[in-house]
Amino acid sequence: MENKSRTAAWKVLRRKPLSLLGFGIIGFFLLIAAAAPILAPVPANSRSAYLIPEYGYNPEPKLPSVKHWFGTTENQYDLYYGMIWGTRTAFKVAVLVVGTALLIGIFLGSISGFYGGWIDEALMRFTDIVLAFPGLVLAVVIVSVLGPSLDHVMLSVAVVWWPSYTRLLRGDVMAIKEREFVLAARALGASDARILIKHIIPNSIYPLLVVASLDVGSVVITAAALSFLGLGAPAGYADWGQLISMSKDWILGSPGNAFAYWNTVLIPGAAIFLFVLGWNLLGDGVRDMLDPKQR
Amino acid sequence: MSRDTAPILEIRGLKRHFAVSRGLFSSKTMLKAVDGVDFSVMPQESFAVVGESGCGKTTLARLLLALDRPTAGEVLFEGNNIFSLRRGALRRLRRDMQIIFQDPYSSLNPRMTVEELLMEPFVIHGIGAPAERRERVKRLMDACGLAQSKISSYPHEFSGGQRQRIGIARALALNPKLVIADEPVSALDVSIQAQILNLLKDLQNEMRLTYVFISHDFSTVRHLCQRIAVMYLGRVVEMGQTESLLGNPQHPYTEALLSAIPIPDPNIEKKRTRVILTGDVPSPLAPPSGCHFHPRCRYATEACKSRTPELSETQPGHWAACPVLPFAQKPSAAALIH
Ligand SMILES: Nc1ncnc2c1ncn2[C@@H]1O[C@H](COP(=O)(O)OP(=O)(O)OP(=O)(O)O)[C@@H](O)[C@H]1O
Ligand SMILES: [Mg+2]
Repeated sequence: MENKSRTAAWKVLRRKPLSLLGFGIIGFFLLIAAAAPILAPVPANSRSAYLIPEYGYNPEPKLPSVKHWFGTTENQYDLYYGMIWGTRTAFKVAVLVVGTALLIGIFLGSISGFYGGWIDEALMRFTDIVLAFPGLVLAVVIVSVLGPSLDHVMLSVAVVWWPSYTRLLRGDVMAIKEREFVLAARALGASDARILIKHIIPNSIYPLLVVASLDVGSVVITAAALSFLGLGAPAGYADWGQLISMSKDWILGSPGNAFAYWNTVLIPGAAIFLFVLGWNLLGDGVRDMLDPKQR
Repeated sequence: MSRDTAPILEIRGLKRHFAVSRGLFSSKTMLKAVDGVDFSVMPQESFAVVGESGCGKTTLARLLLALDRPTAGEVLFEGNNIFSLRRGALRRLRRDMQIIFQDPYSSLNPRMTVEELLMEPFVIHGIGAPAERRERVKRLMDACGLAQSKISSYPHEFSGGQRQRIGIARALALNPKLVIADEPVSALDVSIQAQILNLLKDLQNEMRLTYVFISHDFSTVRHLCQRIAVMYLGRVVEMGQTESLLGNPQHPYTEALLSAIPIPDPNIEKKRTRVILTGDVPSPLAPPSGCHFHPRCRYATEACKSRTPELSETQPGHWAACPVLPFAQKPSAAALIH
């Protein structure tokens, strides 16, 4: 059975070269993240691998050179080093934010859909309130209150994200709990916890996982936007959004030469673009693989 | 059925009303899915509940196992009202009463293997060590006619009949005393139905089971069950020994249902009258006044529109909720078939 579903999944993917490309892009970034210590060795005196080595104090960025493959940002942070270690940050943000939002969504959504009644009513009104705010605005407010830091950025994005997951799972749980196999488990004397964990969640979670994989891109963009606004990691931290933020004063180039500092914007921008695109294509692929009609 | 033992199951004044709203702005109406049902079942008896779709059979089945709470009435299992039991006591009682579902496709968790499905009863009640559980699962599969080689297969890899065997094995895993079978064969091919019915019959003899067997027709229950109750719109309209009820129906509804099916028994065939049941089952949301059956009944009198008939014993052990039919001059079969 396991084998059968694996070959079926492969068959779907082969028909969707774009999803395959998505898996390829994310795989490429994963390799970079894994090989970061080899690709960009951490200087011996560094306090943390995520602190980009600084080569001088000149505010003006420099173009790529033999010494600095991607050039340097303002204040002479090595862009190549920042890009490589920033890949790890990107995965960390993606996994932690989506993971946290998923955990909250699964917990509250299944309880809400399973028990119904006033618990459901209260939880749904609360998600209504959170969903009523534009996500980015709410996240900005939360980080502003807590103080700028990458952890607070991740926390605020998770806070913005969990309500939609809660609602999605709640609906599916409500549909699944009416199925007869749930009644059969109850007739056998199964506890509520067992019914939820063994019977309801395994049969209702797949749509949520598809949406979550499609969401990774938006989560990374939102986190990058907060970093760009200066609410994320401090200057010099290996984070793509933060690297773009450092280049915001140089976007227009120098007088007479609009592309003077192209590397500071284009390189981190392209990385974020590719990363988001990769997750979106991968999410499409996951959806197709889980959709029995596509087989 | 022996007279000296106490009933294993006693149902008293059982009602289940659902509040349903018919439209966006209309107020809620009460749907009386089960509306005052009384009967008792003796140990090792097979008791049938027969009625058309929507008459409340499944609702009744769920009540009998405390999978739903009644609006009124009680269900006594071996003398204890199952609705007043505490959680823990009810869970322990569930070892003794089980259910087989109508739909073998939705009653098995699609993400569990046969082994996991059949192991679950033992896991829930903490019975046996893992190795012993596995052994018992294999024995169950044997007893229910499932090949042991399929132990790691998922439900979708089985046919309807095979799936129903899994459902039966699961229901019997804990050695229950009472099994409620809610139309266990109605979703299956006719060719498979007899096999499953035979399996149920064999298992009953081996495990000394008591069955409450729910069905929408008489043909599946006539060979399996000693007594039959006929339901119409949430109420029992007739109840009696199988031969007595089939051979000499005392309620016009039973009579009409019976004449709709050919009976391959010349003794009964000779005696029976042909009645064509006219009209549809009325909506349970707005049941007819008085006797619910009166708009479709060819014996109906003016009184039937206002008076709700009670079950009364017309012959020993044979009860019917119709004051008219037993005394009516039954037209001859010839007169009815034109
Ligand atoms: N949870 C519910 N809420 C509202 N109405 C319900 C509910 N469950 C059942 N009903 C209604 O109660 C009536 C009896 O339903 P039930 O499922 O018990 O019938 P049934 O005799 O088992 O029919 P079938 O032969 O189709 O299985 C139907 O009209 C049904 O619509
Ligand atoms: Mg039913």
